[in-house]
Amino acid sequence: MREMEWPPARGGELLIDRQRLNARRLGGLGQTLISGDLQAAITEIAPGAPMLGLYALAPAGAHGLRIGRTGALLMTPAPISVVDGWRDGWCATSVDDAWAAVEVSGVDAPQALMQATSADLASGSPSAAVLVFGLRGLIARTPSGFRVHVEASWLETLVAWLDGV
Amino acid sequence: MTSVRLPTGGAVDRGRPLAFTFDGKPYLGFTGDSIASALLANGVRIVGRSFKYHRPRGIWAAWTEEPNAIVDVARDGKTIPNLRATTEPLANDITVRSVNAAPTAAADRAALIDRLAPVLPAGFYYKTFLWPRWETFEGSIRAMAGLGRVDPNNRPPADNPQFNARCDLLVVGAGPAGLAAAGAAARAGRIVFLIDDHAEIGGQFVHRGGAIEGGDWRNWARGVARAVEAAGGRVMARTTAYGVYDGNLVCAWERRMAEPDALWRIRPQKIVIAAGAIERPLIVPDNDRPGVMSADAALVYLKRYAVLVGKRVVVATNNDSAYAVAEALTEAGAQVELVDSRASGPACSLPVTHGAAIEGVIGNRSVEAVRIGERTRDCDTLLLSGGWSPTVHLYAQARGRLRYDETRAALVPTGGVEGLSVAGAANGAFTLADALREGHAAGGGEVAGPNAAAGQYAIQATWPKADDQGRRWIDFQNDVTLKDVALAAREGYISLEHLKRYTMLGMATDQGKTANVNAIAAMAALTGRTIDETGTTTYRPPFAPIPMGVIAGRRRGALVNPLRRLPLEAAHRADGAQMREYGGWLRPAWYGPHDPERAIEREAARARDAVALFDGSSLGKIEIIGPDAAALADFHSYNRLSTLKPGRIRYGFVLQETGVVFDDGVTLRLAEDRFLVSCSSGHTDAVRVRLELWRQDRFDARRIAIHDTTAQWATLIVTGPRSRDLIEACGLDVALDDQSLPHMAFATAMFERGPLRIARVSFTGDRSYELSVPASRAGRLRARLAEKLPAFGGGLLGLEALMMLRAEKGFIVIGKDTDGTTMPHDLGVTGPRDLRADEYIGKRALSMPVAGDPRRKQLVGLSVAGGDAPLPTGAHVVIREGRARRSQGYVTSSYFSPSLGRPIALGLIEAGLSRIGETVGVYHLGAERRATIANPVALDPEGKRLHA
Repeated sequence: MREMEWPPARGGELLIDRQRLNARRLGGLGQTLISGDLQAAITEIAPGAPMLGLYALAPAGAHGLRIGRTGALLMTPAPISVVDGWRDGWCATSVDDAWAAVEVSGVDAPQALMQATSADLASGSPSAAVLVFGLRGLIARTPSGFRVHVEASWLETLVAWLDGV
Repeated sequence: MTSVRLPTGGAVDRGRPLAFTFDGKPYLGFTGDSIASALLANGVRIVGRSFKYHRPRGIWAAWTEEPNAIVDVARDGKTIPNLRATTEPLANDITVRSVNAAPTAAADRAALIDRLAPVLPAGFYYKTFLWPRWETFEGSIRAMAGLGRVDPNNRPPADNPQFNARCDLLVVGAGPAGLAAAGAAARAGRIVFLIDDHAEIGGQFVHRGGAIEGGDWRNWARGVARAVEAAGGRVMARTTAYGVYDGNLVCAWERRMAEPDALWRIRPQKIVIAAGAIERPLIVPDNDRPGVMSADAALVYLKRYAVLVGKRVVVATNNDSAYAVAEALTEAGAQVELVDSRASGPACSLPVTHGAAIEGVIGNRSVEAVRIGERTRDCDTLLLSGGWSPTVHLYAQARGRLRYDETRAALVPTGGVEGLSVAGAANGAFTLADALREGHAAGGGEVAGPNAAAGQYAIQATWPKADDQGRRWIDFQNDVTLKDVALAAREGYISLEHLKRYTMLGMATDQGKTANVNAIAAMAALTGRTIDETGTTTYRPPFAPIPMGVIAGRRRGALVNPLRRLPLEAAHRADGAQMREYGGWLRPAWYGPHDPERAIEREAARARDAVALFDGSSLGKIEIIGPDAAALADFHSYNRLSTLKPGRIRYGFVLQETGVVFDDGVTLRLAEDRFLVSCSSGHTDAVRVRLELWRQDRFDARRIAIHDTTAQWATLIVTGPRSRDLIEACGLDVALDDQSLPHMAFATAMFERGPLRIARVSFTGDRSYELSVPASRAGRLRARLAEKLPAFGGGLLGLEALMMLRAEKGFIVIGKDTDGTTMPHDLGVTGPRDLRADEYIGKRALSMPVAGDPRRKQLVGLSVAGGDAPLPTGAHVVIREGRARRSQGYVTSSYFSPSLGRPIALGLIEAGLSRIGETVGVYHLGAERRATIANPVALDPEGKRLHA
């Protein structure tokens, strides 16, 4: 069978820069997986950070993106020095490098969203986790479009999908 | 020439002519024409040949139900096969060819087949081609079968988007009922999607006209469209809703003018099916002749395209709707006679013969006359109107049931599908007023709906009868006649599903849109059952053929099965890595532009002799965390893990519930309450899901968490006798002596202010270290290691060479050296099965009789003589049983080992572990070789190299 030539993965922060669509990877963020008693975890690690569900408006400061019932990805403007492991009813694991956060904006951003997911964004959900172009991801709303979080190893695939919109 | 273009009228643009060819002859049409209307305007009668008998066929319909006018269309050197001439817009410079005909539809060489019809009844191929064997005839039959020609040069770009959408109400069909439904809902503030497969909204209004509230229907329709859009909805023309799926998901194909076609997945709160109805033929003798057409289609061609389909026209009907057609054709200049099978009909100024039927069609290549009772009437066109069949396909796909309504001579919906209702002609409401009322109600309209004249529709069912004589076509596309249905009934195929498969009735591109109801009625008459008792076939998507490119969307090329990317991909490419797919990841296969075989052998030899650097970042890294982590780890794994001490590592399997090995890998105990499961690269997602499933299903989920950290860490593996020297030279602050860091232990340190984990694990059999750092630091760690490599005679190692190294040691790759039956004891690992008293996944299956079968395939090595070539992977290990060979297993991995200077192989062979030393046959592609069953560990069976 003919081997497929795979194009090199795109790097850098500016992933797509077109008149109608812009995609930018957010760098330098702190990312922490938390599980168990989420409220206790937030209180301990990032007091006051809101916990967001599907397509909720993401604030500039720390916030959690809910994954299912008992997990969340805690986003902070910069990495935080959390000790990995179990506490009293909750646990945390630093994953600053594990997830890629891509902010999508532009006139075609709504169309990109329509192609990306079949989730009912208008009705929302307590969990921000959905399939995004078939990839496990988290979706938040931003003032100029939306933000997608996928595991970093899927970033190139996400960008390839967005680039075809 | 019988059909002509009128000098005025229609919606075609006479100022914009379009040139095209059909079967090699040049023609002109106009912008706004369909291919079918343009052919009719040019007097073309024969547009195709029937599938089986190659009888000449003309245009029957004007839209998706067309069974005859299937054409290949070439444009810009690329051909699209099997388009419906009736739905395809005419374009300039297109080449249109008939299908199933050679050289042309008008002069088809295979036309003689029709003379053999008496010996080619339905199902003849099931009976005829049994002797000597089917394969004798298969090639010829396949060459004759099929319709259009696939153009291998036509590779459409993967640019069809697929949109997801939600709305309050989806209305399928923008005719009177659909518009009424959409208008009512939109004016109540609901978000409505109104879709129609035509280029303009209006449905029957467009060619039959109508007045709403005393005004032109167009004004009303435009008002509805504005209301829909004002409420946040969409009006989508040229869009075919082709399937209803679970949860009332509706898929639709949108044909966009300036952009690639799109597929829509619409999830509405409620659906209104207002898809209209399809006129069916009367089953009269020779009703398939060119020039026999649906009466309603003739009106479409007249009103939309200004094409008069005949000059001397006989309209045969059993219902009122054909009268308006006859009058319109007369007004356009045709001589028209009506033949109504009923004793009376609506008032009409035209000549009408009541209580009569067409008893013969004269003319082979075109209608020349018809027989009406005892007399013959010269004509060039016969229009048939056998009544209307509601377009219930989407409703029936949603499990809606149908009942036969004698007063309307139609199968109509019974309702009862949650979230879905049917309105208008699709529901058997065949007058304008009824359609509007139903549509308005279906859209939730509470006050009075749009008002129109009451209208009139009456019908007297005229179904095929058991004793009808002559060749009467029920399914034009598949050449199924009334006699074929009778034959099927005689042979016991009285179920509609059996009839369909025996005769092909209702199959292929038109899916029986004009045929099915007549076929049901015919079978009912032949078997003495009612139509309801006879039933229908199953309606399945798609309603009409949909381009495969639209269904595939952009999931082609790199997006068919996208791969995960390594954090160090750019560094590997810079070092000349040849990137290939392994377990869902794009990974370096080997380095350098050289001959792959030599490059791989060189990399393997260097790893054995000195040291090599390999990227193992794709290995799964899933953490089990919490007070009950050890219990879940134990339950999930074949090997007990709760006895593992923090800082230590254990290799083991995880099993399916069937006891079959699902994955293997090592587990690190990071702390008393924290394990790191390092699974195969391709199994990471599945292992995470398994752990999550069992966490929630069997344990107190509040006391365990599963965190997948695979993408957080990059893992660089240093392997070979000089691996420790290399790492020490890099100045990493960690003790590497065997006492501080023995095999199957790990240590932690810091690297550039971040964590570094060094695990002493080996997949090569040599001393090895796995260095894991956060992905953002991996580039710097790799650079430091790679810089020192040459000083120790080392180099980079790709996956192909690693595969060779691990095979020398008998280390398995799950799914390659195991199959869907392999249990742990087949791989020589029996301890947990014999010793573990507690539960774990797969445990019970290991005590089933099949698990103890002495003929189970077991992992062994296979050796051949030094000068021989490696055994082919996949080759079968065989024994002779009489004159035949029987497979006892197969080769799973095979390489030439540069370390040993001879081929090595692994295989799964029946009772292999008890047959070490036995010589067996190895069969591949017609040749048989000899090999000896051996210990799977070909290199360093004592394991000394681990500590060298």
